[in-house]
Amino acid sequence: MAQMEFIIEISLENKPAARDPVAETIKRDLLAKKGYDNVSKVRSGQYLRLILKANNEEDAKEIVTKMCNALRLFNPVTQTLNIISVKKL
Amino acid sequence: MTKVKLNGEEVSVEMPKEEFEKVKELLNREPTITELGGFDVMWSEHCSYKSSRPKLKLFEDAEANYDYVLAGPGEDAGVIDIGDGYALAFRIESHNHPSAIEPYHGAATGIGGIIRDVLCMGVRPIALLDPLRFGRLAGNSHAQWLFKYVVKGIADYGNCTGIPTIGGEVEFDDSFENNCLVNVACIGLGTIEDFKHAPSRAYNPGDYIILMGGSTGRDGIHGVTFASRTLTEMSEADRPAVQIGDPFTKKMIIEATLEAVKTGYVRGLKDLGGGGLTCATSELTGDGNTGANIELRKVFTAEPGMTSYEIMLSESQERMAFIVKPEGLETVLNVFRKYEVAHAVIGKTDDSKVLKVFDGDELVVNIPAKALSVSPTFKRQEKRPDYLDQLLAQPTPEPSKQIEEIIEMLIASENICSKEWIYRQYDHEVGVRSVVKCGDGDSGVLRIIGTNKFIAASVGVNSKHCYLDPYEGAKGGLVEICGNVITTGAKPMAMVNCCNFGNPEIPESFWYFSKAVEGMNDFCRSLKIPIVGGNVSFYNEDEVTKTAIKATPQIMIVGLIEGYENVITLPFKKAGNDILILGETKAELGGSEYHSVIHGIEGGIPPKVDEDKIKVRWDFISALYDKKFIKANHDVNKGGFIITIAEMCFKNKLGADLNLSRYNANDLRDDELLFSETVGRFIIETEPASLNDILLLASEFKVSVTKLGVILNQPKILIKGLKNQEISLDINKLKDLYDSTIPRLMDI
Repeated sequence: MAQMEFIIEISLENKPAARDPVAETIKRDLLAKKGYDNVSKVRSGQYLRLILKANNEEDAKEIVTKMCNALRLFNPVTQTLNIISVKKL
Repeated sequence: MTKVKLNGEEVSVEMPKEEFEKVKELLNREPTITELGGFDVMWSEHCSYKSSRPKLKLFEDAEANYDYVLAGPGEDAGVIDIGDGYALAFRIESHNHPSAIEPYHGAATGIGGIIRDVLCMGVRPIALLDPLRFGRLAGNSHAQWLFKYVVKGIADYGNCTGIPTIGGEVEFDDSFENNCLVNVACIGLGTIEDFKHAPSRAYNPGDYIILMGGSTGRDGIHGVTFASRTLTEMSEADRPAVQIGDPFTKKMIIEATLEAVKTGYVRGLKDLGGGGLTCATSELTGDGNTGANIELRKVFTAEPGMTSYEIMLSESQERMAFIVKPEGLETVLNVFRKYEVAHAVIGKTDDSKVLKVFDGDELVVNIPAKALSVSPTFKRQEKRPDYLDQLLAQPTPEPSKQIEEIIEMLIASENICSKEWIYRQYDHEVGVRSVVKCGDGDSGVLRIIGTNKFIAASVGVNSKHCYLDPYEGAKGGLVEICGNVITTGAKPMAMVNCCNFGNPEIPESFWYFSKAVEGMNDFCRSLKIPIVGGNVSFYNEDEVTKTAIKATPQIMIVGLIEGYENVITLPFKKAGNDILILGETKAELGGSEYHSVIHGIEGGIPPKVDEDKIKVRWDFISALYDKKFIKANHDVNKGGFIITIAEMCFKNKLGADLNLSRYNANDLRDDELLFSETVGRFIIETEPASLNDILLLASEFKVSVTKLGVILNQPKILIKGLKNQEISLDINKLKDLYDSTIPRLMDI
């Protein structure tokens, strides 16, 4: 089967139970102080967009997940990897 | 893991069944789940030292006969009086298990924890030191990953809080491949007044208990029981025990705490680390002979719906507990408001000697304050490992290579080469106290601003030597680390240690711990160095090979220098000056880098320590300092004295012309003479005019001093007087090898 190009978006963020000092600081020291006290929660993370060749969407997801894990782009002990979207280019 | 029946329900606890029975006996009823959680954590190995306590009794009073010791073992940090009204606090502890699974945050929160330990003595943390152990880097991506992120974690946290990392030590060895060691040390400075304001006790009934700093979350529940198990037993599910550090919040906590202490209203201070709120409140009241009422729902939590069990046992970072006089409550709270640090008054002390914790109207903890600290102890079996006889009997093979080539291989080996790759990531100058910086001396030297006093600090031990002989190895570590401090012109003042060993339930592992403690104790008593604190980390095993790490009783020494003119550095200063060696070299190649790098063996007879000779040698150096005879000083360490001399040549691109024919009193083979790691030797630079006086003084002191040669104005080392050949080494080439190893292995 011919490989196709996919555009895949992922986010890496701290596990829900883990703290997130960056987001806490944004919420406490910026938003709340400037009057945006209607914001109840902020979480920060890293966003990556990759374009890669794969057989299908599932294959693309698997390649990215494996790659991020093996190369320690994130640490599964403290962070989660979320695939935001996969689209054919 | 044990399953026990609690009020009809089955729950899992870490403690063995007998301890659960003891809890019931102590309370005379079934504990609540929150109480049981508290006992479970506080009686874990990590908090209670239940295996090590019987042996650590040896250290009892090892600090008692020194009038300058203000706080010793049992406190959060050791504290000494350094004169002029100043107190110096320091402590070292381990953060091995968290770092082995999440190197960045594991190391960072290790730094966070040790900073809090020193801070809660009421003094300002001014320096960090970090002895580390990893697997060998070459072609090993796991070891590289751990190494890279541990260093980055230390650097980021230390740099953000504005505390310089002034020293450290690292060894790479296969036994640490999966269980790396991350030991963290911190030094704090304050006035003796400040220190007296902040006991880690709540002595007075009626005082307020304030929780300050980070919010309490679900992260890190049972972090300490996790440290009391081997990594093998740990599943993925255990892993949320890893903490996320927050150095910017820590910086505010440091400033707020120090300012609160200055108000004079703080009567007790304790950091929240292992065991969280349970540990802090029970120790404050238990040790202070008081009791307390705590209102759990006053604690500010990171997320809603946390149970009493979770709030009491959370090990969330960046929290401190304050005991404050009633009349000073507003003043102290205003300090916290000024720094915008979260805080809450969570309870009051009383004279009940009982710790009561209320969750709304429900009484969830109701135990005698001292109960949590009366953990059972275990008399562990010890047995000398059978494999040692064979290892110790290993002979040194005939050298298969030219001496030049061996020296080049040694200087480029991981355990000897330059560690600049590590320390250039650390800010070692912030705070403007650093006088001798990383690479310029055997220990970091800090000025005490406002006085003409300087402190020197060093950490380390030789794990290969300890593996072959923990008793002599621990002593050898002390000789070396004291030596590091002495080379910068200081007098060693006090010692703290961090014992990293395998599973204490295995007799062979416990034997290593036991012998190392005996070695430290014997040496410190005969050389009159007070032991002011320590930490024990057991269960350090490789989860894959099921073998224990090489025994690593890390030693930290702090010394004092009076006067800037008495601070000495390592590099050779001037061509034409003499190079002298203090101490003789014996055939002690066991556990040497020469054995492991050149011959691939770990055995042989490791160095032995002769306390009497060491004592006289230190006194002799002190006499030479008094007469200002020493221009440069470096202690002889891994790889032997030629490596030492090469390191002294590097900075100013000087060389050395050496003749060893007068030095080999023991008639050793060339490789034994050059590469033995006999402890307690020093290479010093002196002016030719003072040579006669030095030799005269040496015969008075009865110490061995030999002139090896002179400093050359060109970058080469010439060695004559060996049995086989004359040798010429190019300093520039050696320096390249020395500098490039870690960057090359890390592929950077």
